Amino acid sequence: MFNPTNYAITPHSVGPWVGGVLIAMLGIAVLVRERGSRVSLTLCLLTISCAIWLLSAGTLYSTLHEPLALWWAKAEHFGVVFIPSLLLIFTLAFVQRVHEFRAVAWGSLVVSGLLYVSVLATDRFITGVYHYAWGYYPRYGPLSLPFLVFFFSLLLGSIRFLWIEHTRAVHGIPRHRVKALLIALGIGYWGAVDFLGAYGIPFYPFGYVAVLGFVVLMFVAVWRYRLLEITPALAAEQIIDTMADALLVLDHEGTVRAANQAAFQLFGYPKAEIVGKPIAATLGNLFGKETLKALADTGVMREYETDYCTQQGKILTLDIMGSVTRDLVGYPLAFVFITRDVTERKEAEEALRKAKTELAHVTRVMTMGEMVASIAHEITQPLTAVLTNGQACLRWLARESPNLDEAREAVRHIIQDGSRAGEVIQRIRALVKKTESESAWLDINGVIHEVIDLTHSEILRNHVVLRTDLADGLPAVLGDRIQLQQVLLNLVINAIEAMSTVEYRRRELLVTSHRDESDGVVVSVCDSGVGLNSQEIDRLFDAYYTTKPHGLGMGLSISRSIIQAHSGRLWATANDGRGATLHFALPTVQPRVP
Amino acid sequence: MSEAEPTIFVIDDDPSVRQSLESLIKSVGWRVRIYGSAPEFLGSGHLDAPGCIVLDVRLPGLSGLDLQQALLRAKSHLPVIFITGHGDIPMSVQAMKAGAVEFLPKPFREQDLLDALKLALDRDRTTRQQRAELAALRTRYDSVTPREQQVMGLLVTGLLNKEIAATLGVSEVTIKVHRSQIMQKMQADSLANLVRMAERLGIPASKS
Repeated sequence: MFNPTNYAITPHSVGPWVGGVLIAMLGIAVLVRERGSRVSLTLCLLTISCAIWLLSAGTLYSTLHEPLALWWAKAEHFGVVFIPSLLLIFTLAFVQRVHEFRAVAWGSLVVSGLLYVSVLATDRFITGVYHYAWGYYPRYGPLSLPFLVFFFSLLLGSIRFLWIEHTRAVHGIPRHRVKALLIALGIGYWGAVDFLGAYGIPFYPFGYVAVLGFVVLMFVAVWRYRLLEITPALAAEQIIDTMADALLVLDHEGTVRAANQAAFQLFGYPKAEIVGKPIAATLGNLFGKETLKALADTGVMREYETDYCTQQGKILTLDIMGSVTRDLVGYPLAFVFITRDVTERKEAEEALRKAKTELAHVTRVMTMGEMVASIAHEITQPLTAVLTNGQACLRWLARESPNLDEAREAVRHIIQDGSRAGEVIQRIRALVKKTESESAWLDINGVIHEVIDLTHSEILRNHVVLRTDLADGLPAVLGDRIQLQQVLLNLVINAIEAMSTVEYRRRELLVTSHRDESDGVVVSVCDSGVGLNSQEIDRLFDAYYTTKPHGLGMGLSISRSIIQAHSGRLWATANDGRGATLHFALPTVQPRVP
Repeated sequence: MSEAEPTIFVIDDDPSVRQSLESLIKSVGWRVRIYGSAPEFLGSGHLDAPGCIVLDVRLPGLSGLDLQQALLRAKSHLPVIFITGHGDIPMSVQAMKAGAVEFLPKPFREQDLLDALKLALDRDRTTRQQRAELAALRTRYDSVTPREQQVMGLLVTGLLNKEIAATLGVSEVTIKVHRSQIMQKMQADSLANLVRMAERLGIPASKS
């Protein structure tokens, strides 16, 4: 076999040899360029099987004796039979569907192996050799037919996978890459013309030309687009090191297997004290057995906030996320915890919330200040009634024959009016008191009535006619009574002020509530005032925007943030006729039956 | 309702205040009627009844001041006492100029209200009496013939019978007859009395 006298090199050998060397170089180049990836490995295997075919074929043409030619023909087929299965596996790796078709991939390899066994062990596949003008050539027997079926089925299968990927791929590099691969394969498969010679048809085997085309196109494609998608797994180490959040990976026994630099800094332990040690020794409070068990049951842990005291005694607020990696039967293998220090964010949120509460309170007090005359009137009325009834009572008793019935009636009214005055004062005190937000299930119509009672005098004083149209049977809304009163108070006062310059028309204020399928409960305050143009509607809710000469421009801005904090929305519309309407919608969730 | 007994009409939109005033006024022994709004009172047909009105300045729709103007236009002479929860000065000035008896800021001392009520009722009684007298006087004056009215006009200027006779170109006897007719018809027992009646009727003293 290695005796040079058995060979006479013909020009026909050069083409396949060059093709074989180039395709092998392609495979190795890709493997080097994209080291470590499954795709480049399978492509390399495919190119090597092609190289075995081409190099052996080239040698076969230069062989002088028939037995040696038969040996090289069989050697050549060690490459040929594996080309379809390796191509399929490469395609599956490329479209990232190996896991789905693992059995098909292994099956194709086994079939290829069996086919090669039949090449070696029987003379039913390769029955002998032809001698053509370009040299010796294998002669196929009946067993070659199943091989051809296998060969073309896997070819079509591979092209189909690529086609699906092509239609699915979004524009850009992934799509270009699939397209380039499809074209390269389309050309490379012209190499199949080499089968003709094996059935006695003296067709020159220029398959190496197709393979060379394949090589060139693949080189271009790999050069331009790369084969490999950069996945997180590729850069896992860099990601872990770059992470600002602390990472801890625990095994199922609670031993720390990995941690990053951020973790050492956050928890204040050096690497040696954490990694490889049971978590209970260091951070047992944070990641105790119960936590691991709960995580193992639920599979994921999100938005879990907890306080943690560092070794330096600093209290931190931590946001911990966790997930589980499981083995094939679902047993937890590892627990991954990502911990973020949200102390500063929490403090900022708290400060912002406090500032908002403060601001809401200030504007509330200012609103009440504007209404002080009207509020005084609200107390004056029952007080007047109390005093008058008291005097009347004395007089009924002081009569020659005291009228006890009338006296009793007067006292009854005194009690009623006294409690009415008390209610007014309580309501005002609640509005001017600085309170934390408190959520409760509320009847929105009740809130509306309270605000209307409070603004009754203000409405009268401004010669406004108030109408209400409140729907019955509205579902309860979850909210803070005082804050919602503030919003409504603000809307009503604004509406009254908007009508203060209206002289020759009715000043009409309409307050309605109704149920809205999409929005829950909607409350609208409609005035017949000067109205709003579209530009004003756009800017209405901006802070410091005001149309009033003495306004601060905070009222609606705060009202909107209050409504948004209630997961609702506040908006304005211009009326068909005159004036404007402000609406707010609050979501309704049926309270759970206790 | 009897013409003689006065009624106090309370108009306030606040039910508590309304009720308490009703009780207080009743306890003093006066008659009282309560109304929730100005139109309600205007429609009640009591605009000419004897009595007075206790009126809240701020009423929804037609305000207290508006009602006061409406009463003046309707020639209702019911005295008005204003009560208000917002003692604002411009309003009280306006109310007093339009003839209100009193302007009481809430909460008021009950004695102030009762005093004001008494004053208002007295004023109502007096003006009512004066108007009745004037009406009677006018009826009497209407029964005097035109010629006699002419004589009366000269008489109240202080002319003697003969001067009147000379002025009118008739005999002194004729004037004497006219004079006794006038004194009888006007139920005047002296010339001085007749002069006062003429003043009240606004009869101008004729010159010739």
